[in-house]
Amino acid sequence: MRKALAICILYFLIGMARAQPSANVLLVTDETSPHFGSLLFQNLEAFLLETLYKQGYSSQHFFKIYSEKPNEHALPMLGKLSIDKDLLYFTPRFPFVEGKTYWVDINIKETHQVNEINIPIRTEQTPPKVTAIYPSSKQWPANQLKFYICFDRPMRFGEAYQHIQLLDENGQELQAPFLELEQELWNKDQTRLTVWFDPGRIKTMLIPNQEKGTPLDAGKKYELIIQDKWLAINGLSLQKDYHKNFEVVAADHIKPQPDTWQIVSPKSKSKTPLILRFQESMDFAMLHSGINVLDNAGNIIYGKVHISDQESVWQLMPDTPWQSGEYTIRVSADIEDLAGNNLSRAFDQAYQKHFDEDEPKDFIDLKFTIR
Amino acid sequence: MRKLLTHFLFLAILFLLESTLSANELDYKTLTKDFVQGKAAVQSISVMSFGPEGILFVGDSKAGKLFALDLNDRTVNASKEAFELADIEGKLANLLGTDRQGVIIHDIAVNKISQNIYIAASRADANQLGYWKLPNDIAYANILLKVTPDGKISEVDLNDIRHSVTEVPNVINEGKQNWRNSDERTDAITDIAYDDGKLYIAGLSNEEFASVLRVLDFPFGKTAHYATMEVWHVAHGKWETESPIRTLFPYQFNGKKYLLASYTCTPFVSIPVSDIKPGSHVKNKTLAEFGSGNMPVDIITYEKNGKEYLLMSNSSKALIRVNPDNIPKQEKGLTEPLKNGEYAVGLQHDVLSKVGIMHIDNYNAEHVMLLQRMPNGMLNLVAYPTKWL
Repeated sequence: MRKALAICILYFLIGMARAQPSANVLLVTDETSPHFGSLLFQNLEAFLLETLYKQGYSSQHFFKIYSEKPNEHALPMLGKLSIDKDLLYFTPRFPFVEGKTYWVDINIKETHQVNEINIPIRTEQTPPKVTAIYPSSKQWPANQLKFYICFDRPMRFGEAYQHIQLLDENGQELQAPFLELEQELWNKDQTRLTVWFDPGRIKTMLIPNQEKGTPLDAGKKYELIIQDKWLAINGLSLQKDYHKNFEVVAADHIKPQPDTWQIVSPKSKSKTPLILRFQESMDFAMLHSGINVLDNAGNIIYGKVHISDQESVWQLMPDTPWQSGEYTIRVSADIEDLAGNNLSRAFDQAYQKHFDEDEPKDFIDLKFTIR
Repeated sequence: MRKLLTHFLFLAILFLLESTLSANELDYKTLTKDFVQGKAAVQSISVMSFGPEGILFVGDSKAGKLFALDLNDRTVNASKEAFELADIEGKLANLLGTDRQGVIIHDIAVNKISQNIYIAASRADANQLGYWKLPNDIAYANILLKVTPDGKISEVDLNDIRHSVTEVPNVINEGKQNWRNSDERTDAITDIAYDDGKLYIAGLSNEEFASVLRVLDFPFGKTAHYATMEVWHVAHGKWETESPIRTLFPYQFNGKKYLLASYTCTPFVSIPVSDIKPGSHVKNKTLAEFGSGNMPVDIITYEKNGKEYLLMSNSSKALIRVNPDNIPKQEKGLTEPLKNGEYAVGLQHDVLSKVGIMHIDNYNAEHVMLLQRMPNGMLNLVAYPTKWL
């Protein structure tokens, strides 16, 4: 009799144990596993696996994964169940979002067990950084036309101007110094923003200039602040303000003078750089696109461009060694100095051709010889 | 006697229903004869449109292809019931495993046979959307979902589906950016419409005049050609060839077929189908200027008290209603820029009191389907009674 009772109790306990969902769930974080990014359910009973197998894994009855805390309106995530070597996996239709919490509802024998799964951030994510502001010089002319903010990764579009502050030497913020375009001027991969000072205040003939003056005053010091709240595309903010201090010198109304530029020729059969010195800082972006080197047959010499000395020196490191011969540096007439003066015309010069002027050229050619 | 009459009537209705169904069934069988079962290698569900036989046409800008999908969705639903599914973004976020700001809806299309609604979506950063940044500018839609009239949502499996596919002639290359900071390729296919064995496909090409309208035979394979487009942009005050048609709709006046179409900023034009000849250049007739600062999204027709109207949805403007009877009255196209203070000119039209609507489609005999941003900020799928439009 006692034995029979003991057996009864044992069966009861087993029954109890079976009634409790006993699965545990974890995320496969091993990047080399074919199941990387899936959820793995362990301690599942054989009958459950068999049932799932028979149903072609289509049942969402036993396992539901939610991207918000389960409630009467929440729908479970799309994904696939599969069994591999007696282990059950859930692979979401789209990868789990790093840093997000998901809820796993395991419903065995009508008993719900809800587990929270936090998806770790895969590699330690560092906040985005301002890598440079151009002009890199600490002296900007009073008629500085534009500047560039460079980031180490793509940034979010549409919120630039609220994160750029320009302070005068008393720490007062300048009012509307920039041309705030609805279409922010980003490069293709959204890592470099062009910010224009209001050109209406720079051109001396225009009303905004006559009423408010240039945004920057010669002889004064300024601080440009790129604010910490600026978001990268992946949602992380800069987290630290970036400061750039500069002082303003006299306005520059003179066109760059190519005849004063200095060329340092490289040696034949070497990959030493060709060097072009401008005698003044030039517009950073245009130096990358506006200068080509051609050989005697007119072929472009490809290589790496390096810009240094506050954008006053341009260098070309060729991909293949230089050969002796005549070469041409073809400089687009559109390249500008910091104040927007290009090779054809000073920024402030009225756009009209004088009868005694030559037709403006699209480019100028500088010759050099490699021996 | 009365019973007999009822019987007779019942049989007559049944016969009528049967004969219309079989015409459709016959068309369906002919049109899908060459379809194959298997993976439809769709890379982007850029635009969608249903044919009357329940075939879904998908324009894929990324792949430069057009897919025709047999969704096996031909059970007739003649209901005139309304429909509303609130917070569709929240529901898609649940299904796609993210939050509301992590999903984007690119297009919707209703299968008029079953009243099932199909949604092209992506898991992408909706924070990037803007006045000039439409869904296809942000991401390529890569999931097709089906919403049934009872509000259930499921994924359409494109890995095993009866389908047919063809190359779209001359789609613009990847790599160049447009003025909206998006790759030109995202506008390779901007809209499609099916009409009587022909598919009309708007978008950008590598031609010097980039905006083109292509005509393909369906079933695919017989012919495909295109013409370049030029349109008088009233708001811009100039003829333009580089910006694509954003939405188009086939329509017939006095037995002649036309495409009614609209461009960004927002000229509304008519193009005789007979003008779209291989290699031709078509100067569109600008019927109206609906106002700058806006991108047109969808055009449909609907019936109200037995009278047909055109309805156009917009990215930055309320619904526009046009009485098609007014269109032939507009004898000459507009060719003058706006005068000082003018905003919308040309063809008479109404701007309705329905705002926040991106996509529209016909739903059933008494409703049109709207994808509408509601005053509470939620994005809803709403079947709206045509009697109130």
